[in-house]
Amino acid sequence: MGKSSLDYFGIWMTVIGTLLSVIGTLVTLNMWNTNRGMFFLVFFLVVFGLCMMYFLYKWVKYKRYYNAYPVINRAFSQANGIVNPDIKDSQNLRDDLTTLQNFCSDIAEAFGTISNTQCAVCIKIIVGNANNERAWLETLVRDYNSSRKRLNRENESKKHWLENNSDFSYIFDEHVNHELSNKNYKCNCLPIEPAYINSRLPKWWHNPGDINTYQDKEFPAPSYIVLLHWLRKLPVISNLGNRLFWPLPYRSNIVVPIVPLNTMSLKETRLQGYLCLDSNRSNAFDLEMDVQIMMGIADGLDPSMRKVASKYLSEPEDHV
Amino acid sequence: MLLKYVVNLNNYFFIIITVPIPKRFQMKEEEKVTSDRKFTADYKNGKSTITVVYEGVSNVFPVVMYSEKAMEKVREAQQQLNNERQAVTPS
Repeated sequence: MGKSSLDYFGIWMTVIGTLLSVIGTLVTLNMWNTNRGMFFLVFFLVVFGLCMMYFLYKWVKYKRYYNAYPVINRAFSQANGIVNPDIKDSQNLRDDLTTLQNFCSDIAEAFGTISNTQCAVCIKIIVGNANNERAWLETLVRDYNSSRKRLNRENESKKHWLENNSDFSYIFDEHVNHELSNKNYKCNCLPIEPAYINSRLPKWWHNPGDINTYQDKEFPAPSYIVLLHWLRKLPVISNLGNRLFWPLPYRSNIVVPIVPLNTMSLKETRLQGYLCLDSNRSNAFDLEMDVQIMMGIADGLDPSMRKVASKYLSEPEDHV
Repeated sequence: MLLKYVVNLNNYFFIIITVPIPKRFQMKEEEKVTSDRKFTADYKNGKSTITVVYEGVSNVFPVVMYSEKAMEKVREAQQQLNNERQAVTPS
């Protein structure tokens, strides 16, 4: 996402403020032997300036949320087109997927504005069959920008089992909490998350020292793996290798279940799927505020997902 | 020049500079990994469930689970959508 004029203003204020602070401190130090009072005056002015810069940064950050809400409203008006036939008379599944893709694109744009990074949004659904006691996940739709970049990855035949992905299995974790409000997965730095598992992570990532993983199809240059192996052994900066050689296209993510918010437990409602938001940048999201917004969006998306399921995918609405 | 003032300051107090290593350069502590959970999917049209067994306790969650046949329709629609998008977007 491009920076707004407000962002540039904040950056320039920070640069100018820092330079003035340095100059002020040097000037004050020069007067140290002659006027000690002046030293403390300038010192407090510098502290005051730094505080002002901090609040300016915060203000710019929260201002981005104001700019994002009209885009989120537009996204909801898109999604309502599926539920309300008066708004848009969708004829087939392709039309509804187009509507959901526009919805995802708007949400990606909104969070791109908030986080000032390029964000990707997708809707994942659970797939299974009567002969298999395992469920896997597939992408129903993703936003327009990321669908162009990640299209080839998703056409692969590999199944992404539910239990092999922390993002999606975590919400079933009764060990955490029964409350639905706590059912989500959020991480602002996936490369240094030791408990994170993802079926898209290649074998060499988990064990770069094992020579057998060199047979992996997605194996990069051997020098990378050797470097990763040794960087992980370093005492202080052990995660440096993880950050450098992270193989996935995202480093921060938020995954929320598509369920209505007015249920107290996940056991009382049916999970329609997952709404996933990610960014290639670490620390892209405010894990408190953005998760709450995402859960609200998932709540608003729930009726549309029910409609899609009941219209086309042989899943009657028997759970209301 | 800067060094001179540092020496001058040193007449009054010691400046101890400690550079803490940011958390971002350290691996996070291993959280309790719930890898010993057992997931079982039960596909039934309209009444699919996922059962999670953890520490001997079993929990059943109702989910919307799509059949492979339904996914064929989805993939077909996705392909149609992508083709239309590619036709519209200049390469």
